[in-house]
Amino acid sequence: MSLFSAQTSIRKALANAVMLVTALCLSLSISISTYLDVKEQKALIVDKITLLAEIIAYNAQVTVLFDDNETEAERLKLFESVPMIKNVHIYAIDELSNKPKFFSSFNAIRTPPVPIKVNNIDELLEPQFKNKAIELIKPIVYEGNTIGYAYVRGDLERLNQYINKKIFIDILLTLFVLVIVYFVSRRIQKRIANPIDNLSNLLQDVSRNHNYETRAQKTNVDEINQLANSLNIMLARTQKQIERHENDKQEIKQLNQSLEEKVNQRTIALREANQELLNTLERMHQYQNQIVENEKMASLGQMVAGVAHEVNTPIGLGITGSTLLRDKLAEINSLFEQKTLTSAHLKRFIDDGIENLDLIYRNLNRAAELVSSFKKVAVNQDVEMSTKINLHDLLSDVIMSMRSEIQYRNPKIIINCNSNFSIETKSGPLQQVLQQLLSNSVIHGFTDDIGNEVRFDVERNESSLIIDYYDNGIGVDKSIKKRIFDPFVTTKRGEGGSGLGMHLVYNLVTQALGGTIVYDELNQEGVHFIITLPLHEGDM
Amino acid sequence: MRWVCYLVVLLLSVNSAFAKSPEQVKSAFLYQIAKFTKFDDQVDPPPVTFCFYDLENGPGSYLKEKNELQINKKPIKVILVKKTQQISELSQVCDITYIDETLENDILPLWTDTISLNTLTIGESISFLENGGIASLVQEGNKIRLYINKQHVLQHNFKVQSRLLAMAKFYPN
Repeated sequence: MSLFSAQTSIRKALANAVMLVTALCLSLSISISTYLDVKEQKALIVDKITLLAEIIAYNAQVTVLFDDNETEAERLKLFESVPMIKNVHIYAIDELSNKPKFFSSFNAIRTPPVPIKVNNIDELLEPQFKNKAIELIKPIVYEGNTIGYAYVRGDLERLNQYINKKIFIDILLTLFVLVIVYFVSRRIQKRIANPIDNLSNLLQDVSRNHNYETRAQKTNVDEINQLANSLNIMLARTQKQIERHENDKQEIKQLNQSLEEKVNQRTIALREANQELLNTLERMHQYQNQIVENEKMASLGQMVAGVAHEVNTPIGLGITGSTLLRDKLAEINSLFEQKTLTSAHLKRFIDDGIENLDLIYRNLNRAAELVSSFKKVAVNQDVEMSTKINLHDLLSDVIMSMRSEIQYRNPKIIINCNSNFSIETKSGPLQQVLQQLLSNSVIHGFTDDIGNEVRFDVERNESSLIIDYYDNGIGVDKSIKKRIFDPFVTTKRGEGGSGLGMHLVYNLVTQALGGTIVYDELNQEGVHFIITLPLHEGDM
Repeated sequence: MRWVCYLVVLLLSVNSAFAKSPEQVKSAFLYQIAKFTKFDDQVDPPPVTFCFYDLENGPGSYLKEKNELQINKKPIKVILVKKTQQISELSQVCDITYIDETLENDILPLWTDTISLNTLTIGESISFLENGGIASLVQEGNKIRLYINKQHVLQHNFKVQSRLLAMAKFYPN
């Protein structure tokens, strides 16, 4: 991989490729040729040794038959003239034991004798190549009977010499061919690489000096000529393109200048407009603060007016009662000074006094209650600590505690709440909220005691617990729907309602409990309040 | 040690009991010589006839018991001849005539007839060859050697194969 990915030149790549391919082809060809040649030579040697063994076996027939080992030894000496034969053994079958026994042998000059092979006859019936030698045993058969065996050991030295010589010649030939191929490839390189070098130099000149006017020269290689022509066309086009580009650049420069002027003008205009907007915004903030202050003042005025209105009545009645009592006192005092005071006068005075004092007491008491309610609305609920409470149990406790209060409207109360729902919150404010809602339904919602129903649906999601409160009463009057959580909003003014109940509920939910409460205006029957309380870790 | 000696002696005696006697070897050689000799079939039709002067002792006694042997698909026949029979008579019936060493001096002088072209005479000594015999199975030590008188072989009608001649020793050289 690195051979192809490494940085190289065409010259080197061409020379390397040619040399590599040539060397591979030659190596392959020579290897195959040598292999086949050696195989053929081996086959020839096998044939030759087989033939010699058969001749020796045939000639040994008579000497074995006539037990003439000396004659056989003399005859085997003739094989001294055959360099290939190194050792010959003749084994004769012993008539008593019917086993082959040594009969005669021949060892070539400077060749040590080899051990008797009577125990390897079966193995050596086929030619065996061992230790640079070939061994073979042929049976000596006479008239169909095996009367002995001829063992022949041939030398493979000549074969090895032949192989070495052939390999040496092949290597020399390969080197010679590679040298020739090298020079031929050099020649081809020059013919191909020089024009490519020229093209390369031309392109370098173009890239360094941006000299697009230069052109490639014709060469004697067709493909490179095509390349040069294409390159010339490309250079010409590039030159034109550059000229056009220069013109465009000049035009763009002019456009940019005019655009910059326009941008500057617009920027100044925008800056002025922005300043104006900032000023306007500043004024708006001032107006907003003013409106908020006005609203606060109006709200405070409304609240003060409400308080004054509510407190005015009992105080006025108290004043009236005290004035009447003062008049009655003046009247009884006059009668007493005139000494005309009768028991009947005193009796009437006492009765009127008691009546007036009762009136004063009731109205002062009423005023005190109202003041207490105002304090409740304003009281800080944050002082109570949060505890873990079970919603179902809390609802049940609230209903139980208000049983006597709500009994006269006999509502059916349904609680849809999982008995395992628990939440960490302030139980007092939540209890107060639920009591207020229930009280409102009984006092304001239900007009009689038939078919009344109140429902608590409690659900939870990942982050909050939702309490849906329903009743099937007469609902909230349209005129106060939008202001239902505002203070002193009531349809029972003068009938004991202060208009602070839902305001108190709103304050408790949003401030003390940290949740939200919404009145569902789309609800057609009765009321539907949606209270959402935040969950904390560990709530379930 | 004594047991080892007994064992060696026993083995030698067994070996000698099973080893071939010179007479047996000679009878086998006679049979093989006949195989490597081509006789004139017109004169000597089958079977191949071996003539001995004694069938009770010597090679003849062994060969006569091997009637099942064949030479070139021809049966063999062993017959007893008399000392008084001339060589020309023997040549009519015998392919191979064997004369043991003890009879050589008795028989050879009687052969006055020189027309004996069809029988291969085989003796047991070199002197047999000197006195007109064709081949001799001479005992040299524990070996039996085939000696042939080349001049006499060439004068007869039968042909001895060169392979046999290559193995045999010639007398005179």
